[in-house]
Amino acid sequence: MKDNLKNVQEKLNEFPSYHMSQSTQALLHQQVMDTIEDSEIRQKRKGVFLIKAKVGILTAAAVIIISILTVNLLNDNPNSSSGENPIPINQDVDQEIEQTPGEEEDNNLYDPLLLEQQATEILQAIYDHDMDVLSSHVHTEKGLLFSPYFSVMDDTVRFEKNEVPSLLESEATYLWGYGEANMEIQLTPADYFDKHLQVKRFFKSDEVFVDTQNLEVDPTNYLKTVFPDSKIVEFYHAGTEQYSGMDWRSLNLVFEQDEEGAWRLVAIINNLFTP
Amino acid sequence: MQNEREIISNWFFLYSQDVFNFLVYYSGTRDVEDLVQEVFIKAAKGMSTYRNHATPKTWLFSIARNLAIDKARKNKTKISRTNVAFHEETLDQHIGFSPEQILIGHEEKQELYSRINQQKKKYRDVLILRGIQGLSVSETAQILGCKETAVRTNYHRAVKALQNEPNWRESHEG
Repeated sequence: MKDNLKNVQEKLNEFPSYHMSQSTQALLHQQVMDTIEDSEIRQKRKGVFLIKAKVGILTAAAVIIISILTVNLLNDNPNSSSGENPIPINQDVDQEIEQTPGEEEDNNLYDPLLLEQQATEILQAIYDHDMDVLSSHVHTEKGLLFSPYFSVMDDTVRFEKNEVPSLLESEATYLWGYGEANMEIQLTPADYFDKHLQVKRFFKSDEVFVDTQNLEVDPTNYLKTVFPDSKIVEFYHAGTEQYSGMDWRSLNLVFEQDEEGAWRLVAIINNLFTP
Repeated sequence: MQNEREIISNWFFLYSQDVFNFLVYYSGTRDVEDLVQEVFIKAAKGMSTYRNHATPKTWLFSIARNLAIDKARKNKTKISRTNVAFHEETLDQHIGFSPEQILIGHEEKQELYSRINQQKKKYRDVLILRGIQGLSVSETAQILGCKETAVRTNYHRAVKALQNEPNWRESHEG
């Protein structure tokens, strides 16, 4: 038996290696470098553009202030009849600034693959009880919110980023929400992680939805209404036939952008069938 | 300090052949140059998430694996969305991972490789990474984002599963 196992392993090791020719490799290298350079230049240009836009805004503001002052002066003069022109100009300038090209696109920039990867790393960190890694993903200003069911209220449990590293050592109990028959879920963070997050099963999710509405369990897109500017990674376990599909579960990791534009974790929300 | 471009450039020369070889087996086609390119561009863009990985190689492999999975998914939806009657051969190549004959001239290996591709995903992952690519348990665990014990168990079970299939027994025991 052992020999046979070895036999299979040896066979696997003997599979031939495939290589690109040197010229293909060099060509691909060149193309990769060109693409990276292009995106760097584009970013620099955007930077220059933003500086120009800022200078423009300042100039516009100066013009407006001067014209308002002038208007005031003119208004003081009873002979003057026109004095409302500057305000529409002001609005025009504002609108122009708001529509700075490329900016909106920039704000929503994210890579679904990288976000999924980040979500998997977070899952692993929770599983490993590595709270330092978990805390490194948490949003500095917004902290981290936990909910055992698909509901977010004002009193939903939330921790600051700096509280996360020592969370599992905390003896304090929190009211995380209400379970079956309106029973209070009063647990320490460590117990909550153990009993409610249940990350282990999500390593083998049936589906991972990245910023995609899961129509089966959230037809109203509830989470997006609570976190409108977020990207959500949902690990989803479809139910089994044995329980007519009612044993489905999902774990939602909600990300929002920080000041630097990086996607940071703001909420961990479980969802499961509730009668 | 090295800048991003220099790092990627170095990594490209160090690891692009490994990434290429892995992608050939993982996506079952030799036409993976575009994917190799995408792996390194993605790495350049996502440099900030690198810190969680022990080595550049495992990080690049995990990006490569995600890209290959994503591409297979996209191909699948593309086919199911267009109701045009495809030539059967093209259809086979495009649905998920439906490997071509990448091991022409190695009949026995091709047969074994086909059976690897019929295994469940977690077995296929470890058979390709640990078995064919010869990566260590810890490297494989890093790429898959799971525990080392899971890699060991899955690999052991996967090898067993391969070996327990009737075809294999007939040709090697009987």
